[in-house]
Amino acid sequence: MHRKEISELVVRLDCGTNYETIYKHFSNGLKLYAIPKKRKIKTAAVVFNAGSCDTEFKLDGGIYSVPLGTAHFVEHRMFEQSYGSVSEKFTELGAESNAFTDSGKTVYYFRTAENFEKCLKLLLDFVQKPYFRNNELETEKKIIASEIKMYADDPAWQSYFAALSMLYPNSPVSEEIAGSVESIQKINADTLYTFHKAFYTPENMTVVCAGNVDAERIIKITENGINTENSSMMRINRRYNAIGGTKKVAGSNNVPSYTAAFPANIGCGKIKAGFLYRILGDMLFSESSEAFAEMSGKGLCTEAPSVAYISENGGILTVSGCSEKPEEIVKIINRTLQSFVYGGRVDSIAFDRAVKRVLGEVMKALDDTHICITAQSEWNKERLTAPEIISMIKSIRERDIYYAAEKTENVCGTGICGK
Amino acid sequence: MFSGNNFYEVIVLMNENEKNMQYIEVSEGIRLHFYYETDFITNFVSLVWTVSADKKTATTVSLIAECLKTGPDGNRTELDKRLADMYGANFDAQIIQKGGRQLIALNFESISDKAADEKVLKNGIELLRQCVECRINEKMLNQAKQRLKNRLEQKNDSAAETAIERLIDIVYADDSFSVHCDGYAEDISNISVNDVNELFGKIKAEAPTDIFISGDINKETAVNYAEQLVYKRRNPQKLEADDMNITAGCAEKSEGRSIDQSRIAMAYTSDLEPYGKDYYTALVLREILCGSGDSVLYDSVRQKEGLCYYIGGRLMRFRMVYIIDAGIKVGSEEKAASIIEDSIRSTKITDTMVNKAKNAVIRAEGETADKRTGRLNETMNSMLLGIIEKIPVEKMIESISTNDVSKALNKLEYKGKFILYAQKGDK
Repeated sequence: MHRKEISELVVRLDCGTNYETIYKHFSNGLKLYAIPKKRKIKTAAVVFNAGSCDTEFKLDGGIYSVPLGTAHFVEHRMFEQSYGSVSEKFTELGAESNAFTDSGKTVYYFRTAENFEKCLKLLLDFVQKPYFRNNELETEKKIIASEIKMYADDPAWQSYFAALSMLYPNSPVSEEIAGSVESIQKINADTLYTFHKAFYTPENMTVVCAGNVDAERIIKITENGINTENSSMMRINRRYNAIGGTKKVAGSNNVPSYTAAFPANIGCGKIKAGFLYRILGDMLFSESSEAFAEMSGKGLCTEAPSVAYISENGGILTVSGCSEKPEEIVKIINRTLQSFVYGGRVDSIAFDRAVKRVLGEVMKALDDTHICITAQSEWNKERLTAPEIISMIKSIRERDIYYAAEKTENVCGTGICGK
Repeated sequence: MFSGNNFYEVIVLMNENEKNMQYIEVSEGIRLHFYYETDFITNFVSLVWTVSADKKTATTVSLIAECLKTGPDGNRTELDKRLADMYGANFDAQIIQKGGRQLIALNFESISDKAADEKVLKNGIELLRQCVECRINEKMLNQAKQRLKNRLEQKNDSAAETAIERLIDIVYADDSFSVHCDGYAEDISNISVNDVNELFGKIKAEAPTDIFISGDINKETAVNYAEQLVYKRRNPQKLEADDMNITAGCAEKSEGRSIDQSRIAMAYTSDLEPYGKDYYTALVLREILCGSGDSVLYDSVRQKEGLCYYIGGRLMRFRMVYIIDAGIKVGSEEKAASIIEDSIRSTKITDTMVNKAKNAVIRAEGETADKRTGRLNETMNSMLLGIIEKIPVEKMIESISTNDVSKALNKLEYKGKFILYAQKGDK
């Protein structure tokens, strides 16, 4: 990897591709990444490290516990300003705007073919200007309740949270991102202002831009556009013990969805942990794995399970899919994982293939500006960029995978949703 | 209204933005669409066969695609290993519906040879070639039948997809547009391996075929690769016209299901043509009605009444019908339907609305151009619709007036509604 200084920018050139990321870390903690690409559409995102799991924190000498779903509620209401709808402003500029919240972050973004700089200024401006009015929250509660019910009809979503709720009962990670119909009723304007003050700060914030963009202009606009100060917020991190068990959720789907969740606390950086578990999952459960041969041979499923990792509660590995006999599949998943941990022999050929696949998936994703900024918004938590991620994956060795497997606990939270 | 055009008479004239694309007739009825580009880390290849959608053969065609998904001999383990060795290349066989046409697309995408420092694309072409030449065996078919059965069940489990599919079933009851191109669960068991191979052989030999190759590849290599994908042609066929046959009057129906949130889908037809200025006027109207976070229906049904979280709409180009769908709070289904209808009838189109919507359409076109699959889709649309000249989108959109959009709105015709009532949710 080559490095060259261009004024205050650092450009990183990737090995074998034209991909580069230009970044700047500001003294107030704000991080900025620009990913230039020859595309018609330019896109930008502002990412706050504030997600659905951020329910307890200290701020200005006080201890706060906010209702489940607060981060997501803030995300919805930020689009309403004193002048009206922010979405409308973006539309006037020719842009499409949206946002999403997950367990650890909230991302606001826009895509546009023109007026990129004006859109970026608008984006930076509105996320710093909370405008919450109690009398306007009731309709929002109805809308969010409707969103929660929409997900109640999604079997994969239901089985996922059922599994987490069995693995870590009463932990925020086991609760739906939007909260519950009951929890959101407790949210008022004060809750939203407090949350915004605590988490929507420069040190908790990252700006990511991609497309045919001018990095130096982006830096200038960002420097001029940030006027909030950092808060005294400190997260209260509780430790939750893994419990395990099975939860069944009634659904109207004929083919049940299942999720098996395991604690996976490896202790290294969470980004690297994610790739280690992705490689492990590929070796153990891909279509060329022995486990899948057994599953499909017995007629239990027709598609290989999908494997994911989230960094909350020290790290959680999930394996999910659809099967008419979900309990039997989960038994095979459990047995396969434990056999690997205790009988552990790493198949070198399977390992090499899994590494190649993960490497290829990361590189392929870089062609899409939207996926680029979504990925970068995750990698920024450890101040990493795509070239470093690629080097990181290439440096993974068989022993790392074995170590990652060893760090999964023999406790499984299972969620099943179906008729 | 329009009808489908003859596939072989189409000539696509490239505009300035598409100068990197080349169109080469590889064999009779087989066209190569070659894009030379270096801005992507990946290479993309797609082989598309087009047939008329027919309820009698739809499931067999769908099963052919399902069989091909597992590679040339149905050995998923080996296919998975091959793809992993090609840096996790994507390989898929999918069914695409365009009006009354059913398309089988065999797609391959991998990181470029430069990025991998290996000859990945050559191996990918070999995989596609083996799939084209393969004979489907009993094992492949049985596995494909099971997967297709599961997939159709999962589709049926989706309330959103069910509502839209049922709506099209009733509004286009006697039109091939309502053929379920993914197949019919009840037909699966009666299809034999001979049926599948016979139809697959016929499609390969006769169906109009398009090959897309895009990436950092020279033209000679691309032509050579395309030639490797050509199967023995005999009696290449022209596509039959894709005529529309819409149910007279309004079609309305409902069903109950044990879900938390009701789903509503409504159909409005337009008298605009699916190409040229007409088409872009229809897209501008779609943006205004149900495109973004400040659209007419988003504002009236979600923001003002709080009856839903999701409300959206799509323009189904090959029938020029708007399908509006939403997840609605239990007990508010009829109210929501009536607000949708009232909002459409009472909306007064303004210059501001039109200008904002035009920008959104330009952006959406840019997004399509930025993606290989988007470009492939657009090229197929142009060919199937017989678009013989492409004028730059910006120019076309520029010429749309507020009056054009108002006229289009006034001519929308309500054609039907399907409601999937939730039997579980709280009122």
